[in-house]
Amino acid sequence: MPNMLIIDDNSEFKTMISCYFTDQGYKVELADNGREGLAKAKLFKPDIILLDVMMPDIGGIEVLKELQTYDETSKIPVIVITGTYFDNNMSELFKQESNCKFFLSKTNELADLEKKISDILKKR
Amino acid sequence: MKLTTRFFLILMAIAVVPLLLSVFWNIRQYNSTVSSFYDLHKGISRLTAANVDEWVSGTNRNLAFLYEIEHPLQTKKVDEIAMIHQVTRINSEIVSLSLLSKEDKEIFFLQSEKVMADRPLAAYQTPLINQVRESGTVAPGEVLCLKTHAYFPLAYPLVDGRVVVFHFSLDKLFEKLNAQKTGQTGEVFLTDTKGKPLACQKLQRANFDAEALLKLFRAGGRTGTVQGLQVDGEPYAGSYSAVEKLNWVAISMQSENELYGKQRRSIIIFAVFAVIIFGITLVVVSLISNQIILPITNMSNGVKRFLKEQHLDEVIPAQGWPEVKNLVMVLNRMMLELQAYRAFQLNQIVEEKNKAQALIDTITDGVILVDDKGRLIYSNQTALSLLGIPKLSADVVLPRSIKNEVFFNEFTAILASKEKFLKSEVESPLPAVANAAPVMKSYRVIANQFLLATLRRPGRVVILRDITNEKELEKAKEDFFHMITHDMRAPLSTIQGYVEMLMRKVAPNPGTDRYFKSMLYSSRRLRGMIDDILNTTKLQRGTMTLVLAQISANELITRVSDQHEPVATPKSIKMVVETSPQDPQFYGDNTLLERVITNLVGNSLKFTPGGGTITFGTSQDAENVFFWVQDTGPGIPEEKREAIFEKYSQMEEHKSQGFGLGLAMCRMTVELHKGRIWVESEVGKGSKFTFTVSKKLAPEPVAPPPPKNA
Repeated sequence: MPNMLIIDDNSEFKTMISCYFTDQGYKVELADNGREGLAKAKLFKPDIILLDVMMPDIGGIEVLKELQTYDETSKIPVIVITGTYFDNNMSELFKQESNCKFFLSKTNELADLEKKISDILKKR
Repeated sequence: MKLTTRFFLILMAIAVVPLLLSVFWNIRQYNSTVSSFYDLHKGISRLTAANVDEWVSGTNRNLAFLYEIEHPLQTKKVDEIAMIHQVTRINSEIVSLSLLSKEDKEIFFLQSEKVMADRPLAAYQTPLINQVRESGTVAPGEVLCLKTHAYFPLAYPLVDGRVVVFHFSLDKLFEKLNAQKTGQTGEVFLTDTKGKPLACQKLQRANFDAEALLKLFRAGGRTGTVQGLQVDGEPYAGSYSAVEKLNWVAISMQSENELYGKQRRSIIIFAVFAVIIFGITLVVVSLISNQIILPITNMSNGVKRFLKEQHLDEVIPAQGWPEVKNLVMVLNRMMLELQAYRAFQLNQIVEEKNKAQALIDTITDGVILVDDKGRLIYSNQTALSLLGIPKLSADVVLPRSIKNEVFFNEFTAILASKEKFLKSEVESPLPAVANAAPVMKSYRVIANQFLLATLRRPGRVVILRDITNEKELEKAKEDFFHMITHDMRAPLSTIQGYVEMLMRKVAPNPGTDRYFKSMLYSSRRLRGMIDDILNTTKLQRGTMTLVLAQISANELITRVSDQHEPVATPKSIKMVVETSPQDPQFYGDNTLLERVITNLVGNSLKFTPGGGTITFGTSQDAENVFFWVQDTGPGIPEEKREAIFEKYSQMEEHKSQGFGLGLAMCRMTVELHKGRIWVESEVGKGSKFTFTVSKKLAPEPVAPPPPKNA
């Protein structure tokens, strides 16, 4: 039963993803912001983290970097999902971090997202 | 050569020169006449001299009997008187004969009655008688003239001391001689060697200058010419010839006036005539010069000056003969009219220019006219301040004089280009207000060629329009659009997500399956439209980057085809997928390419009537992968086949459906994949949209993946 952590300030999105993946048999943890996310990451050590870019207080990129610094969390694969407009520079920026596997748009289909996640988990 | 000189020379050649020639000819003729006359008179004088000689010889023969008297034959007694009578009878010229003794006493005398003298003629010859007595030879005496008869005395001294004095009549001789005179004024006469004419010659003119004659005799020889001899105030010319037997000179002469008077007069007349004609020529030339040539020169100069100075200072003075004067006046009028016309035209031009100027100055865009050498023909104030040129002046040359760097580059390009019409957009900082940072403004530069009227060289009109606001508006619009649609994404993905979950949760049921499929399709479609808008903005800004992944062509077209089943089936449209046996593999942006094919299918589904067919296909060649979507729809007319790919273009009939963005976005996406997109169509039968994707696209090399153990 894989663990998943979703760090996003948008509750609607979190709820939907959570429902979806819980249905798939994932155990899903939620965090409203970066700090909470980091704390829960250390605590639960999920198999996969879904990270939003635009968040108040600490932004997505900082969370990503923070995750890398901690031993417990540095190896966890992160999929960065953004609801906002992104461009090449932004995605490059995120992708440079070793723990970021994918940089996706929120409007991608859930099935697609699910496939990517299962691919990552398989590789572990 | 001046006209006057020419004219003068011509007239001279026509009138004066022939006259001069005839004068010279006349002079020549005169000279020849003169020598002819000399020859004539020479002949006459010689003949005269010869005649006299002959006469003298004749008289000498008459003296033959005297020999008998002097030397009588012994046998014969000479009857002297009878002999004398006989001789005188025979020779009628002996008009007087006197025999004188030694003592000069008259022994015998015989004299003709014709001689009207009261004594024997011998009485006159005393000096002669003495002379012959002394000399002992016969000698002639001077001609004796008595009552208009001329007598030639001859004294013959006999050996016995007696002297015979003859007197011969010269009248006949003189008459003979006289008869030979030439012309009216001719004289043929005899003179002694001192030039004195012998007496009793019936000369018309008596006043001979003996001295002058003497001079002539001395100058010549036995024969010579007489020239310029003044007789009664008239000059005579002729010839003299010395008589052999006597000391006489025969002269034949004639008044020079009679001889060549006419010719001389003729020469003089011709000469005078020539002078007169010369004078007349001068007068005529002067007249023509003043009346015709001078006005012509004035006219010529006047017009030249007018043309050079472009205006009339003073009219050409009207002078000369009426015709010429008229011409001058007419010319003056013409120049005045021309001047007036020019002034009018100038006014027109100035007025037009002012109008144009007012117009251009009011326009808020910068307007510049340059010629092909970069010289500024015209520029309004806006343009000047934009380009950084302080003011219009003759030494302004583009692009050198442009202070603004951006425009400098732009103008350099424009002036160098051979294209007629150029359009570009530049950004330039607005001239900074003091202490404020310069604001970047956008300008559209439009350049068009035109022909300079006077020079037939191409010039350019350049318009500079501040489109900053326009651009900002467009950007604001797009940003607004973008912002709105972006916010739509979130709820949309929520809907879609839940639909997907429902589809999983709810048991398959034909009733509900259809609904779910429809919902999913619609939400996907909506998301697609939003994506298209957002993508188009990115594509246009050039900020779109492809997320390249390996794609299977067959898989792609199959996927898209499947996605559209829910719509095709209700319309009874058949979807046919023609996969390629090779299944081309290539790198491309999956999402974007899916959008392209979706758009094409979407259009086909929109327009193809029920019962039609939509075919998907793919193929490849060495460099590209081909994709096509073919339908049996109404087709696209030829003139629209290019235009439909423009942004916001839509066929009139379809205005109600969609934004018209789709094909524009497809083209931009395809071009980003280094491909092309086009349509082949036949109105009434269908359309086939084809696009290519270059096989040369490859993803950037990524950083080495992290170690996979975790």
